[in-house]
Amino acid sequence: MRARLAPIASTSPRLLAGLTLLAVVGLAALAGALLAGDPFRTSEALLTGPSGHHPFGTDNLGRDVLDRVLHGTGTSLEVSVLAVTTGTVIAAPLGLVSGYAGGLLDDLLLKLAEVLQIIPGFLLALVAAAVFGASLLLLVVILAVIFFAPTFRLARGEAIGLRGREFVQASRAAGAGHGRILRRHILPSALTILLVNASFQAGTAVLIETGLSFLGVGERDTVSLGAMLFDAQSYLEQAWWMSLFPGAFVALTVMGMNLSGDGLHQLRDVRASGRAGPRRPARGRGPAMPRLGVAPTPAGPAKAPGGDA
Amino acid sequence: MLSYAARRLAGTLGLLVAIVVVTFVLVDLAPGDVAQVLAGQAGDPHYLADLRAQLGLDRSLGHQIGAYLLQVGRGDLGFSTVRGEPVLDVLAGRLPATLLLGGTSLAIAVAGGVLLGVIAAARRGSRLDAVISVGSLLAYSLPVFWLGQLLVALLAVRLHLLPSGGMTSATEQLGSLAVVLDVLRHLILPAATLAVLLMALVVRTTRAAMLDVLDEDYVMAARGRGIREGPVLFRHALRNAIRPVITVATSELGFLLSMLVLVEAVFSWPGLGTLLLDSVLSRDTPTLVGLLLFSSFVVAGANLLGDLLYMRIDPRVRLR
Repeated sequence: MRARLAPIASTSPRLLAGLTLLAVVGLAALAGALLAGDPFRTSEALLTGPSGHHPFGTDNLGRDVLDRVLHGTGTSLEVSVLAVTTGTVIAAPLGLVSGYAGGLLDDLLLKLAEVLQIIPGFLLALVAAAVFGASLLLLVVILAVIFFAPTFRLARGEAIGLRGREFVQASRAAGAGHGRILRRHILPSALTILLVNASFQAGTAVLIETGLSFLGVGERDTVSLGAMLFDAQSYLEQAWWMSLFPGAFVALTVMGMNLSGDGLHQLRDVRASGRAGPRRPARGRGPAMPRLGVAPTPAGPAKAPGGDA
Repeated sequence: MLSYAARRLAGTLGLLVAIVVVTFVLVDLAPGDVAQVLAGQAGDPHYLADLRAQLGLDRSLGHQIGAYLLQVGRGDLGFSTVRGEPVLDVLAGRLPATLLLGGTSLAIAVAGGVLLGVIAAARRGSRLDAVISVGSLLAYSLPVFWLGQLLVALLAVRLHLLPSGGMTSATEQLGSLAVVLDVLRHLILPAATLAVLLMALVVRTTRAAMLDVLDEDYVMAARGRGIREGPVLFRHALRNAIRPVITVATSELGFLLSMLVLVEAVFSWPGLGTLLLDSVLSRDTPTLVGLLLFSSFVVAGANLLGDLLYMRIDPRVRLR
């Protein structure tokens, strides 16, 4: 294990930094669940600054900001992991099969993905959350829907790119069935890029979750970092700590996810170029441009995965 | 090209109809309706029934949707009972503030982001590149509303340099020049907040696109002909790398809109974002549907514009 970790750290310090951040944030959430005090307990000490007794200070109701930050971090992680897992488990296999098989179903699914992608996801989530009264389950479902289109299109593009590669052709010629090719060749080759995509989406999920609760449409009886920042908005003049600490934990969580995704991506590029000699841009990779027939051009659209919210 | 644009427009129309249906169904599924909000919690049942009939809420959902679509076809987005104004007027009143904020930050983000992205790509692997790319990744991870709050706490509350929110001071009568300066002073913090996030996205896209292009033979050929590095980067390479940047700038408009809602909320900026939030909280369905329609229309329009721009820049692109 150590022998494998060392080269990862030297080729991709970002991955190491990201995973370290995630470990810290994860431990904080764990501490919130196991050790921290009741995040709803009020006290007489209103709006007191950071001290030995309350390291992150107290809020306008005298609640301990540290306790609330730890619980809120747990909420964010929970929502984000559930949403991204659900979205990926549904969209990735569909995309791989759809891209590999092609045909009418592929056309239909692609159309569906295109439509989903134009609807401003965050705004729709805002309306749905406000209308139904937000619950964590609803949030997970909405996020999974938002993430469906980008993940589907990524997986589909990968499958199309891999379909024509020599090792797939060879396997086909050797008599392997489609199911076996998908499981043994297409899925493993697409796995890294899907993981990269998932970690960026996890970051986006945290931003959307906290963003919605910041706008006051989050679930009120769970602690959310976004709702804490909403409370902080009215006390910016007296109590900066109400804003600084919850926001910092959102930022650290998202940074951990984005750094991991970026590092993983770097690692994949290094591996690919390590085999193929000097680095050449991979043509035809990444999400294909819709509706545009493009003659061979130098640059495919290099869009940050998980970039839209 | 015209028929292509027409087909894209038809597709957009279909999408807009879908959005109307989805929004109406969503709002219909929710407990309570606008009549209840207007009449108050303990509203008189007769008054409530009258109000529902007046608003057309007593008809079937399909009927309501059909009536609304016909209305939109005539260029009328309906009437906001909550605000007592036609929705179109409500939107038009808020649009300039959002255009000012969004336009300013997008301009800053594209100008600064493209420059930084080109520099990072030109110095690939250097310390400067690491600083720019890690920096933009970290900036991209910031919750935009928190960044806004920090700037307010530091620059407005602590140092009293800039106003903490709103678009105007609205105190005494000011001359027209003073009004412009006043609005500009209010614009600095929200525009800077938004620009940081957008710029991070543009930097990352530009850098990646430039890296792909810089390996190409024609770049080497240009260098071989002794052309200086500046023109090679900006005239030869960037011209080919700008396509993905345009895609991001136009296709991420949805992202820009959601950021706008958050930033406007932090700075009480009187634009479409605060309007959206208000109408969600007050169950102002006509305004809400109008806003969603408007923003989807803008997003779809921007995508189309982006594709058409491609063709101007890159004649190899053919439309199907």
